[in-house]
Amino acid sequence: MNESLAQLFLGFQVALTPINILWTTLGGVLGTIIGMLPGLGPATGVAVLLPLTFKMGPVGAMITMAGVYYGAMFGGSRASILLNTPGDGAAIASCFDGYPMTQKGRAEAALAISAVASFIGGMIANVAMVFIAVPMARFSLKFGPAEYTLLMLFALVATAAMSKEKMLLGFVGMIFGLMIATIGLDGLTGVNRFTFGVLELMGGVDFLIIIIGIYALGEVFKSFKTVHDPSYKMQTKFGKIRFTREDWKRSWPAILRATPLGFFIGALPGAGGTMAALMAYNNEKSLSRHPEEFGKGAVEGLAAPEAANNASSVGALIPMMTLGIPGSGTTAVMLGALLMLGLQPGPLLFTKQPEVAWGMIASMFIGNFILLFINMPMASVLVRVLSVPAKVLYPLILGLAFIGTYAITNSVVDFFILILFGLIGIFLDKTKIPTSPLILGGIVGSTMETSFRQALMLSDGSPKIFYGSPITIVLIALTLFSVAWPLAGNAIKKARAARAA
Amino acid sequence: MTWNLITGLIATLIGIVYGWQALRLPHATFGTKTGHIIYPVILGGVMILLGLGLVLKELLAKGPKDPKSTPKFGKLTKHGREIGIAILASLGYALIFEPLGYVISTILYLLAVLFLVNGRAKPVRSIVVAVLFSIGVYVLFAVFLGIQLPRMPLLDI
Repeated sequence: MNESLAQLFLGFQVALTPINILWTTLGGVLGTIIGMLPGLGPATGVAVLLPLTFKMGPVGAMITMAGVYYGAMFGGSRASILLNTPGDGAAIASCFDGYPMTQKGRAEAALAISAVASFIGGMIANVAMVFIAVPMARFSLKFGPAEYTLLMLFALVATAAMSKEKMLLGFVGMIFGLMIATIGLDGLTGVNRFTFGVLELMGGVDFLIIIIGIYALGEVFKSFKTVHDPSYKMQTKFGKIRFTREDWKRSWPAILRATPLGFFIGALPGAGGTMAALMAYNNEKSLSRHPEEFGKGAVEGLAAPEAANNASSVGALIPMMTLGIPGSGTTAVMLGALLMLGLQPGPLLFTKQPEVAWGMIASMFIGNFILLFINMPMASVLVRVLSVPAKVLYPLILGLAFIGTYAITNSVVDFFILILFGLIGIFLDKTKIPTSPLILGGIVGSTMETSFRQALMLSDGSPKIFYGSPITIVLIALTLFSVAWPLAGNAIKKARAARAA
Repeated sequence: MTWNLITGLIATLIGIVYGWQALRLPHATFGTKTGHIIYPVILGGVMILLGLGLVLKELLAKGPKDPKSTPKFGKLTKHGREIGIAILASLGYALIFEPLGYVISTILYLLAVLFLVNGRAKPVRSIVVAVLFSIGVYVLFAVFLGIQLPRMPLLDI
């Protein structure tokens, strides 16, 4: 525990240098803006802004990317509150009571309480992260290749199984992602796999490009449908952004309840900010003495999901940093970016490059203060971004997607891969195949295969190594459970419906 | 023909082609001889099972079908046509990117997409946005980030 504090102190020394404070602010502001804009989430934001981090070095890059991530959680609710359109998935639950508050003329209070709830949720989760990160990283040293294979499998399966009735589709996406990851020269044997004689494919398909293709190009193409809608009317004049004492009295217990929930859900693989926020909302509604006020502008119904999604974004960073296993779309992109910067997340990140790991953690404390400032006194200035017409914005996102791709690989050939995956993005949307299992599969695919083969080499080809230790058995049980649980839930629902009918 | 059925068939096909390609991979000359083959073969096999599962589930499903779950063929909608044009513009952009240099190719591409979405409304805004964005990004990348972008022909800037 003392060790963690000493390391955190070192982290603050890194994070408090002027340049890193600048990166924290930049990441937070860009994240807030990206979060605000409907259709653009933190995953797209990190992917498109990646080239900007090239010159920053690993510490600056991590600080900026983390800033974009939790900044987007702050920003997402702005559009929910003012326009009834969530800026990103995690802000859906903030529409339920945030927008009714605006309709009642209480937009200022809604903006203020959501910023404060986000701040508290983020801060408490940061403190928890400080104390959990090191023991977690140390525990993961017990993991051999077989355990790693199963852990990644669990993360993948849990993500794919999350989409209940579309579970089969989720698995199709997952396997497809894993398949793409096998393209290219095999590092262990020097054999070319699935390159079909194309020279450019020998190095493999860069997954960051696939992400930009699916998230940026695909999203923009999809939104061509709505781009012709007359632009929405939004309140642009605000009074003082603040809330009343009564609001606070109703909100703080909700915030304190939602934070640990969000943190925990975020740290689980598969479930992300959206789920954390929705669970926090439902939880608060069922505990409330006035459940009838929910959906009509109950302030605690806004505070709870806001605290939860911020806490979950911190929680999601833990498995990514300590185990090298992303639990959400955004952390998957961050993991890809880390690997590109030459960093290997996992237990060694904390011992070999403590300035990166702890610099980032410390910057998150600072970032929360900065974002509180940006989202309270400055809120009325910042929300003007929402009045940028979509018809200008979306073409520019296309431009950013291409320049981002070029900056990553320096090759025009990848433009065609980018366009191809933009098309695949539309196809995935039509067929309702969820994208996050695919992305996750693609990012962890090659590590998972390497672990799998190392394990088999260790055991001379005997599969027993995959169920020979207590950790592997627990992991197998968790994997099976993650599939069985949604199925059981469905069956119970069906049985209930049948009885009611 | 529902989307699920199509997905199932495509998944099965991908699984077969991928798995078959994996089986045909040459054996390694060093290291474990078949280490690089087992894993993709498993992936192909699982994909085939998933694809067949989707097909079966769809064929056994009873009850009325949601019209949204079946694809419509025939004439493209306005939305579909716009996506098509945007993709063609993107392909064109990829082709002119190096010969024309970043600034010119990007202005042309953005103009194409901006006019596609905006129609004839606000042409000045479209032109200003396209020019400013292209030059701004070029300066940001070439000057501040030190990433070389294709230069303009003739002028060489």
